Amino acid sequence: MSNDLNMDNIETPEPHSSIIDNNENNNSNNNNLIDNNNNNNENNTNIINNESVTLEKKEIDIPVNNNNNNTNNNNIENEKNLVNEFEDSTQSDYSDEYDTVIPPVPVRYLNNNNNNVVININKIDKNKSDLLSEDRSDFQDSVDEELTIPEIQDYSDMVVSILIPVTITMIILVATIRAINNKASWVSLTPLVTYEVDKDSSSENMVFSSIINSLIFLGIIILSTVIMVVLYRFRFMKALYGWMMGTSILLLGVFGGFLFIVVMSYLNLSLDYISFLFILWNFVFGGVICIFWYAPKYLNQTYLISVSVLMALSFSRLPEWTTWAILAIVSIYDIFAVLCPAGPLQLLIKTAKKRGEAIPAMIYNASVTIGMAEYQKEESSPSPPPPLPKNLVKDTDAPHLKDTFFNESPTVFEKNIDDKHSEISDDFSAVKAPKGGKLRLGLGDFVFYGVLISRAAFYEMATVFTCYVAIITGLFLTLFLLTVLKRALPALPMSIGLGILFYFLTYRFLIPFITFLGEAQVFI
Amino acid sequence: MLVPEDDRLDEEKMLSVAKKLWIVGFFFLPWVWLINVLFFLPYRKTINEKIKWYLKFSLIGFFVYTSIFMAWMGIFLVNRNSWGERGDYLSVVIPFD
Repeated sequence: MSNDLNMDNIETPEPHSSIIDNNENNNSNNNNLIDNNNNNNENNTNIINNESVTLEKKEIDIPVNNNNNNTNNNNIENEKNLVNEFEDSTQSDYSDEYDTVIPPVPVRYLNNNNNNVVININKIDKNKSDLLSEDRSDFQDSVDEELTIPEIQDYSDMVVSILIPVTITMIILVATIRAINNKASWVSLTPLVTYEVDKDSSSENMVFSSIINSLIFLGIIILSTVIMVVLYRFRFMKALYGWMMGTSILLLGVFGGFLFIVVMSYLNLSLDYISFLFILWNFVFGGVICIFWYAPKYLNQTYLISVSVLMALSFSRLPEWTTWAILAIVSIYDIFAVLCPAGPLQLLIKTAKKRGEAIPAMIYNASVTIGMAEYQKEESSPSPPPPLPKNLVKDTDAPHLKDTFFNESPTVFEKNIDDKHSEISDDFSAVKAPKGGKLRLGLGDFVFYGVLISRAAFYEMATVFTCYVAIITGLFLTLFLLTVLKRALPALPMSIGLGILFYFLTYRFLIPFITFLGEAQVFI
Repeated sequence: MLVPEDDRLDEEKMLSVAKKLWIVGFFFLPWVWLINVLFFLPYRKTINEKIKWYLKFSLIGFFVYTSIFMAWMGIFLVNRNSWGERGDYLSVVIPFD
């Protein structure tokens, strides 16, 4: 982060940093810096501690329209008149580096009283030029829309809005797996696994076949991702959406129907074919409408969660060591796919940004508002209600991540300003930089979190809890990095890495320890 | 996903959405009818009479289909044993008694 967030330096104009202070319209000085710090001291005493302060000061890249510094100064002076409604922020360096002229971005502050937001316009490295150029398109598209700057409350809302669906997914998975003791019904494997791994087999054989299995798995993920990127790049949109719809229908229908029968057997309830077909037909068709078309937001999110639950359930039936190998390899691949310039997900996101379209992928959109709220907002109050929670990736114009059937691996979080609904992205979800928008998490992330937690659930509840904490910790770390780096990030590596680590630590140390304590009748 | 990003619902579009969902619901899809109603619930104060007509009949259709379905389930659950072999033939899951 180029800019200093420290409070002390507020007044001093830094060459590269422009900070805009909402609270005091003292901007008459020529500095681009606007200070929110004073307000922070006043407003946030108990609530905001050091961590929150860092969050508050998350810098937001705002593409600035002004060509000259002079315009900036003028604009700043004008702010007094505009009184918080619009600010044109400009960066002096920006115009020099980029020839492109960007139309002024109207910035509306969510809350005039809270001055928590520091806008850093200057911090653009040449390295990030690519990102900037990408961002511009978003901004240009969204110029007519309100550009809301996330505050600390919004950010915590975003974090919670991601935490809730992930937790729900995990709870459903753990409950299902713990409840169904009849492992026999789970034995059927996916066709992806060629090597059967028995517990009897030698360790050498086990390692070999696990790696082979996971590589096959990875190959299918890569293949489907590449196909999706190619389809999107050459605008075979009907094929793309048809593919995603087909996979959604198959997933909901086949695995949903399977799970339905299993649950009914578990509950020892009778079920006839007519009811079964009727319920499944409604579930699947309603799911397609909710995921792809106009539907209430909570239903959209519900279906996305159920898609990831079904997917994770089907994967959780893989042999144990194959599961671990898949998780590790997919996490590593996620880093590549999201961060590498030529990575498929990176290409997908870039392309989507260039076109100003949503990412064609299944993405959980975590915004704080409810779908309809947009419509009402426009009419009613200028003070915007919290942004709609959508997929985990925040999107405005931002891309959506897809999950296709096999593509679900990597995760990307994205934050965008706007969001319409969750979208199905191919493979991965990426977390994207916050522009005050929404946080979006690819369904692939949900699936692999779920696979890890369900694998833990096969062993003990103790491992479930430790893995849950580890995954959530990794997720929050990723979110934190997201605010710092402001670009799409892979959501899998840290969470899955910590999860695997904690599983084996619990398996090896904690459970024997607890067992010993129990046997020795020692109470801590 | 098929909805454009910058989508804004105006009267015309809302009408077409309500109408399409209403038509789709006839294919034994009461759930879609319910989705139709739920989707427009937040807009209930702003929508016009035409849309309300579709929504009203969506809701009515939902209750009709649902009650028929519930009646069938009740009949099946009560009579499954007495139907004997035919009842088993219809069953996906046969509970242990």
